[in-house]
Amino acid sequence: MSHDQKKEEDPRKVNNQYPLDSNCYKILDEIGKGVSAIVYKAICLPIDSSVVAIKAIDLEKLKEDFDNVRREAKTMTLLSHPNILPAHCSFTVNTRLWVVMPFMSGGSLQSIISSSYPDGLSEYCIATVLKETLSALSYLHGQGHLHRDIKAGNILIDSNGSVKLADFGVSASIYESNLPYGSSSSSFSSSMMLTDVAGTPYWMAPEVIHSHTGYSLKADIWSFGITALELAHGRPPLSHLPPSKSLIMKITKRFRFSDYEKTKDTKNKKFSKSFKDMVGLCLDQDPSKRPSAEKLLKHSFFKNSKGPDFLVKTLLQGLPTVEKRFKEMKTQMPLSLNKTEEEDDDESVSENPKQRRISGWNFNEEGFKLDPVFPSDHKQVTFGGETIIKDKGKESDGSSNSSSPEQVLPETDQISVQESGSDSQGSNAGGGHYETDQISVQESRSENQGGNASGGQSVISGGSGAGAGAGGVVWKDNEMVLKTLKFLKDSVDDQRHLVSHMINLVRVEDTANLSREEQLMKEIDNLKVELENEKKKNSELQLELEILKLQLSDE
Amino acid sequence: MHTEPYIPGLILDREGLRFNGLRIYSPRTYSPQTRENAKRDAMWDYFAYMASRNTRVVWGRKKLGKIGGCLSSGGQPAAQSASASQAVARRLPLPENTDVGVENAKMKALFKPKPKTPADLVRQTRDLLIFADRGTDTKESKREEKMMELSKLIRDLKSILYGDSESEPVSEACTQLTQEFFRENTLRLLIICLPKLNLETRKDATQVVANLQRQQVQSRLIACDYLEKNIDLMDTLIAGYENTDLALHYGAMLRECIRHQSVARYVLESEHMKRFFDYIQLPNFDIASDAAATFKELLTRHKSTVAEFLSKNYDWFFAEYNSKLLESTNYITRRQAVKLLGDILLDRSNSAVMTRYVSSRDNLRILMNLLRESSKSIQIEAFHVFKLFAANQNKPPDIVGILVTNRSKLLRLFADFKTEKEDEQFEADKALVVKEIAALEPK
Repeated sequence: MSHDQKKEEDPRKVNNQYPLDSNCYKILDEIGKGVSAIVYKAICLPIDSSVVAIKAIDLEKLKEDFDNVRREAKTMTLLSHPNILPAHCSFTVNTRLWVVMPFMSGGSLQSIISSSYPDGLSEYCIATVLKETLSALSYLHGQGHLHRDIKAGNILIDSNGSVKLADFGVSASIYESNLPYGSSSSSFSSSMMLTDVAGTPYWMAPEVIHSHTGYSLKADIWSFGITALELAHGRPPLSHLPPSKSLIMKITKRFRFSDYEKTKDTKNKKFSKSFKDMVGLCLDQDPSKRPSAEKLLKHSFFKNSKGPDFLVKTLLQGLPTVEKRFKEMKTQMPLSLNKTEEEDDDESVSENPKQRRISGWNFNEEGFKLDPVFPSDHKQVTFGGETIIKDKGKESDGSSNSSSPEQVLPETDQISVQESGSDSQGSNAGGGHYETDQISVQESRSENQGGNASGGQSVISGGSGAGAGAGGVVWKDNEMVLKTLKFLKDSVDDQRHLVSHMINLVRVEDTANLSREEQLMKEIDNLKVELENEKKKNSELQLELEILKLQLSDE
Repeated sequence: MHTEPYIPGLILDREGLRFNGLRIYSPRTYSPQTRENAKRDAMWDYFAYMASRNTRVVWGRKKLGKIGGCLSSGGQPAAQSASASQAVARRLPLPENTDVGVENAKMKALFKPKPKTPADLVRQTRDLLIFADRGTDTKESKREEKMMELSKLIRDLKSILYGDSESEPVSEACTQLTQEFFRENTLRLLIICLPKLNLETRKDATQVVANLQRQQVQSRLIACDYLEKNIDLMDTLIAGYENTDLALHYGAMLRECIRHQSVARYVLESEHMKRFFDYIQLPNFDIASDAAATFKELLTRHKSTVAEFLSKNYDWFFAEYNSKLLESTNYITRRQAVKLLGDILLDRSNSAVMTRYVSSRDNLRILMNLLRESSKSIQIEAFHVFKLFAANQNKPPDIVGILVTNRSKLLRLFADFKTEKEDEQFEADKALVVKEIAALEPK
């Protein structure tokens, strides 16, 4: 034990030697980028050109006091654990805060997964990596600290296979004052653009989204469970949904681990019982029922863990460098980059602290009909409208057991109509927004119903069973046939009109349900504008009053 | 009753504080962070109040397991503690306290004797600290063993004061611990020996010292009494900012100690105050920002003491403040300094200092330079000070002169001067300042 402590002390003495002057460092490459921070690979010239990672945080983007930054920078300096990425030193360079850290050449697990293991890692790998992470978490919790942002993007691996938990605090708190969901720039994650702004909600515990008090130690355990799933599948659950939807899933408590497992079993991925049990414990809706980090370390799943050499031989084998992965991501995913920027804009609207807490929304949970959609194994994570439409197709298969027939009909119909709608609208419909698409399709449908093949067919088969039966008998006489056909056609037309009318009725209702969230958001926006106007008027009046008072007192 | 000097144009009403029609303080302008601090302060004030009323405050509820754990009932010391708590219970019929004795009796039956009372732990800690302080006259192996034991003891003290994962702290045990701690010179020993402890133990020790500042014994904050008699300890703690290894630990202890008004007064009036201007600008960010936090605490926590300090030391203090902080080449120093200046000047208790500050042409020049900064955050904070110059109804002629000369530039600046989020208060202030400047006549 005393030996251990000596070991821990020694590197700290070395740490203090890192110069506090930006001129002593030579920046080599950009290896990560977040909302208000950039991470560089650099060398420290006075210390034998040793390689370091430098996180440059733009302080100008922090609107609040520096109290949080201070507190977290301090905690980071004072933490000392083999599985926690320490800071060598930190100092300011103009408006940026430079945090100098050891360079972890393996990068983040998230970037490793997205570059080489899109379908997830083996259970041995998961157990090895997560055991180390958990021991870091147990130390943190013992010190009374929360990590608040456990995810694969924050678990880093060095070339020797050592695992370190990164981005403790500084980023979490920094982004907390900036962004509503405490998302962070995970230093090395290659698909940072995807996870950065949008990411963190997927890992957030339900009570974090709900409550006003925010995090408890057990919220980290939830995120840990989600991270386990992320490592197993290559992405966190619900990640094919935009973050706000993911949040709503958890708010409505539709997301349960058991549900997730059910759908998983139908796919070919099998997990051991101990893995499922471990994740299940972490994802208990009731925080008090989740195990502590210390307790979880003793779980049988972690008996599968191996040493760092194992990671070097398996996980790190033939992996592109961190820089390469970052560059590839930048060039290969311009689309998602753009998307993220859009997300960014959306987020910046909600940067206002008044609406920082999601629990402030007051939408009707019962009226919210969207069922959770589970990720299919071969689909890329995108946030565009197309993916959502495709998902709807899959969802309707799955939901047919649970939801009533009335719900199924409009939903299947909706998909076919949507597709034909985008056909008729030409090329510009493809990227169109979900909501607007729906409305425009509805219009085009009522105009040219004859041409709408798929929509029509479903109506025939569903609507006129009796007429179709009669058609088989009347073959002999052409006239009879013609007459019958005419009759049939009329009746079918009638039926079609009737059914389409009914569908429209149902559809309108359904649309209302589906977009309830958006409607409420719009309403909130409108109310806000009104409120602002009122406030402006009020302040103008007050100003006038004050000036009048001033004049009075002068006289 | 207002005790502060009469300031023309200063009105306090339900909406907050106004200075010549300009709202300079309103409860709504508090940031969430400030509100947090205010809550913390309120807690602190509550305890101080209870202390003054001779009322015992019970921290946290005890649990059965905890009493067993930390009083380790059984044997003679446990009997002592049981009777002690019974005595407390008799003296103070608070519901939380009444059943302590009963529970202790139960514990006595439940647990095997392992006599280590909180007081025992403190005594052992003290002995080991004396040993550690004495230097290296023992064998290395033995020394190491003793230091290990010391680390363990300090951790035990911490878990009594803070509770642990299973149980919350018990007031009776905390009291015993505090009493024994300050009966002799344990705090001094702990502070002096801190460099000899390992990192984890330093952190534990810091938390213990922090907690002890709030513990009451017989409704007194005895930590305060102790510090008043040993005020030179503050010199040691402040000097810690010059030592990279100790700065964060000593800094945290220092901030807890200056919660006591008398201690804060000592630090404010000492020569150390001047050194803070340099500590704030140390290159090491974590240390510099810790010093900045302490500096801010000193200048904002105890209103009357601060007001007295500022009016007595006005000349040197603001000369230093302007030249070293507001005109620093360091972005973060300027940003923090201008924010703190706003907090100080907009505080009602400092209104006399404020009127003096806004009558100086040099000060105006510095603030106007800050208004021109490329940093939005500095601009906004500078505006909150600048508005006071403009709102002052008794502007000296040279101030009016400067404002008139720069009128068109100022009005142009304010024309598209906006906060990122919409801020009605800010807009109202801006409108008033614009009106004021537009209406100025050169004298």
